[in-house]
Amino acid sequence: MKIIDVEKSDIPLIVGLLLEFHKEGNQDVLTPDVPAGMRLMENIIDDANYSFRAVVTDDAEVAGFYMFGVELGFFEERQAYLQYFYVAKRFRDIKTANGLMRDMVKTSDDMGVKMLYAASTAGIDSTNERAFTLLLKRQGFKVLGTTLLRTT
Amino acid sequence: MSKFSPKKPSGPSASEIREQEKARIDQENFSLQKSQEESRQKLRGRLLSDDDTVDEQVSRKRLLGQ
Repeated sequence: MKIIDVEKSDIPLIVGLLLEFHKEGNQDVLTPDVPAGMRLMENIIDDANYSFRAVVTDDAEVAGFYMFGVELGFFEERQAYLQYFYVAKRFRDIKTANGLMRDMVKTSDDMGVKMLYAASTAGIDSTNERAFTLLLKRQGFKVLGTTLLRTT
Repeated sequence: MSKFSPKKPSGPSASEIREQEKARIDQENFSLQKSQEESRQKLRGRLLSDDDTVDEQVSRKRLLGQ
């Protein structure tokens, strides 16, 4: 396994995982618009304020990815929000997930991020939510509260 | 006496809309599968050409931030 920067040519592979993420998660209220999503991913790749990385197998399968972006706030320090962190079910093991999580934290530190927010949308008290929270806690995250969503 | 006949709504019916939507999704899935194959080929080439075979490559953006 390797962790690489996502390049534009990788986008179709990431989309495949993103669709799995939506299917598995609680966000099926939104219909993913694939072409629009692909265009947005291109913008993210070009933007130095975002980190978009993927863990890939030696046989060029994308096992997981994360994406976070530095956003404006009312603090001088840089703050970022983790938008996606996903490891596909078939590759889900502690080594892969933990490796990707460590890489995310290292990248965030090196980008000068002082506050990194992460929210789980896996569902309260679900196994995935507990595993995700555990991985985050191992990297020094503290629990602040719950995630709520309103869609229109 | 004229019989009451509800006005037929103009435009495609609900089943036609569903069919159109299904056709659109099928087309998108087909295109996605095709581009996924191409992407994998490119990624495979990139992984093979990497001289520094390390587990975790350093992010370019991380280097930019230094």
